[in-house]
Amino acid sequence: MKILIIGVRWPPETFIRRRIDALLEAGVRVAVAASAVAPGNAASGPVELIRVPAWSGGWLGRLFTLGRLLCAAFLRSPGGTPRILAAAWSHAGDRTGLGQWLTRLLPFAGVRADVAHFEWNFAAVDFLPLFDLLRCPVVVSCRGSQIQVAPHNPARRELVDGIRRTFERAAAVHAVSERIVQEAEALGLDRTKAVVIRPAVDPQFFIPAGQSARRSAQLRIISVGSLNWVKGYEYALVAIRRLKDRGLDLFYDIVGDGVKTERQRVLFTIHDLGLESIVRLRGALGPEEVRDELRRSDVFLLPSLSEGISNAALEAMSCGLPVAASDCGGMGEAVTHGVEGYLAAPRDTEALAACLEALAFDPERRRIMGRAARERVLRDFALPAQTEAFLALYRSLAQPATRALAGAAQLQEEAL
Amino acid sequence: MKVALVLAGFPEPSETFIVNKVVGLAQSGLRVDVICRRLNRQAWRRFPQLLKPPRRLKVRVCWPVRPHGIALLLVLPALLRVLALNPLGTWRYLTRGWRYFGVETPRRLYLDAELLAARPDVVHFEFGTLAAERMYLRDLLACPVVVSFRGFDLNFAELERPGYYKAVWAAADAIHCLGHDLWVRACSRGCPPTKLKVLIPPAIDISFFQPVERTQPARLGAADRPLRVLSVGRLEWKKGYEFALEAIALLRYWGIAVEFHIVGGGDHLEAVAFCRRQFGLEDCVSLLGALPAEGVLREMHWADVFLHAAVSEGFCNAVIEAQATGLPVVTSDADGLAENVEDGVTGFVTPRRDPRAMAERLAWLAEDGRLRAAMAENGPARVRQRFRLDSQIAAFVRLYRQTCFIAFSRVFAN
Repeated sequence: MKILIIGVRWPPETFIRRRIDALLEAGVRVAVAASAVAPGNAASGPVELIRVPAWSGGWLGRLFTLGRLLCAAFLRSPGGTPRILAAAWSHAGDRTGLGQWLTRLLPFAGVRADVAHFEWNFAAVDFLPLFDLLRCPVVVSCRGSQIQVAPHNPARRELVDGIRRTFERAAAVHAVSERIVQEAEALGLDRTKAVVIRPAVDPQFFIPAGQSARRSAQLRIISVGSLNWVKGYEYALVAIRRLKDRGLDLFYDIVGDGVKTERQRVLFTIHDLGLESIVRLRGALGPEEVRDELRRSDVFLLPSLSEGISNAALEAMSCGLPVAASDCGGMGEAVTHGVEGYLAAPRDTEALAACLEALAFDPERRRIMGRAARERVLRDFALPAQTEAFLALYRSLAQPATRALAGAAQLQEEAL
Repeated sequence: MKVALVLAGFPEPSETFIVNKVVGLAQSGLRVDVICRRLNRQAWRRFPQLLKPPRRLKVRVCWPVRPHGIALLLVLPALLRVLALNPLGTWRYLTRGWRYFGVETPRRLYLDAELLAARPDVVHFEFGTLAAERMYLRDLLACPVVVSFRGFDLNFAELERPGYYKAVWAAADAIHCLGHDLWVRACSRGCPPTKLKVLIPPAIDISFFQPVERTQPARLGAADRPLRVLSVGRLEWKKGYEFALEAIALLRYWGIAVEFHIVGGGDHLEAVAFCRRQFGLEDCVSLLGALPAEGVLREMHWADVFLHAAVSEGFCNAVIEAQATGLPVVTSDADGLAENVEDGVTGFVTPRRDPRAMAERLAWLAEDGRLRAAMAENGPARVRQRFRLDSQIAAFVRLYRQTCFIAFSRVFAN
């Protein structure tokens, strides 16, 4: 069996990397089509790396890239390339010109796979003609803001249509939470295609700290996540300010980095609310450092406005931290109010502060909830089970019987 | 007297106040040189004031820095040009600049060539961020330097670098702030309180933003006549639209029917649209995008109340304009806004990031026609009294004269 993963960067995000490793271990061949390859990271080991060049730079450079791609495509697949040319021709329009379609599609000439997997909705929309060209079942992943936020942006109305078309043509649609399935249904997803596979963390890596690691009266709160408006840090800081006003001794670490404007926003809010002495902006940290920071903390705070299911929260839970989270997206499927932590309505700073307060004054409750969080991760969000689920999904799609069915459905559709 | 105003781009669509000031200064008899990195030709047409620019206004665009090859070729022509236009000044620049930059001096001269060619009596950096790394110009051009702070430059620009404005605080001949609140922030970022400061609020063209006769029903907010709320400003995080939308959601929750129009475009659109959806306000909140001045005026005539929920805001011209057209304003207390609106007289000032307080004030206004009518009277009067373009221009002219005089007398004393 061979899986083609499309639309990731190289080296890929940690959670995709882990899945690739697990697939390779299970004897599955993996090809990755990467739109952005970090310089000096072209080595891909047993993974077949397909580079999709960016459509940028001067026209001379673009022409050169195009010619190179065209020659390579003809050499690899003299039969398949005309089909690609025809597909690019028929899709060319105002938004995406012929040249851009060709740069996107030509690298796939001669590529064969048993299952293709788009890791992001945007990638599926960008590579829409591949659904037909690849002649294999296609999986599309729905992970969060690309379903919950972007399609509602009035400036990106075309996405709604694009996403609907990818759902129609996909053999299966993977969603990270039940909640996302509901949102995707509103965008045209057929419920029977949906497969919920929740994110997972490595409980062997994110281990709780020992009993004696923390000995201080100060409550240490931590958030991990890129600085992005979706993460709602301004609301978190307002909640922290409320707690400070109530005389709570606390310290808040924000781990993550982001675009300049959002960093300025968080920094300004910290200063504007007079929280310089108790809030620290840590910037992006590596996985080991993140784990160590989590183990030094008492409570994980997730003020997000929208989430699929936050990996960062799962990592914290795996480290035995109780969670104070906003009840957005699929967070309710990972945290039960009052068991592994507390949930507050998104943007409700008073409720968020109350969640933190409830945890602040009761170390025993923190301990119990932290343990429950760890158990929850071991039960529902551990890596091996997730890998199994993906393998099962790929196998069921790659089986000839299923493929015949999918092919029949497609024929029927074309006849219509 | 010749004044050089240093800007990043000119004219910027969202910076009408700069255009008004530039044109006003030129009309008042000063020679004005606008020194900018880039010229926005598309935006030019959107400003009627610039269709027939005053004779004394000259816009100078700096020499290109990219591509490097071209820039390298242009160094010599730039040098020859400034030598021809300002030989003494160039000599001074090169000799003094050598002490600052050594072999880098020609590169610096290339970047500052247009300033040298303008031969200004005063250099005015219109934003603090533009001045931070160029205060050496005071010495090299041998003229006083004025620096304006307009909000973002004090609030969140380079907050990570504590000494960022050190050179400005040390060398500037005068600091201009839009309001007292910003001056306090300047001091908290290291400005010595003894520094010569002037507080000149922005001004608007009151002949354009005229008050309009409104019928003021005693109660608004019923289903047949909702309260019409308007916000005008770019879609950016600092405008606090998420808090404004929360206030609108609260009003709805209290049973007051609302229609909310947001005029402005920007990168924060996705966040604002998502917030609107999350509060379930898609049926009563319209995102109208950026509108030309006439469109803004039309919206102001349409609305009953103006809402401004910013968390960081220099002073906000849109709020002044709203008052001028007789709209009661509910605003946050960010920066100059508390000085812009007179609390309880032309509108209400609430704590920033406090949607409940904003919603309460909006509800008062919805339920009290007499209050609305009184504020509709007071707003235009306040604007006529405090935010007139001519008095703003006069204040700037005074400022330039003063700094020149001080600089001159210093030279004389030495």
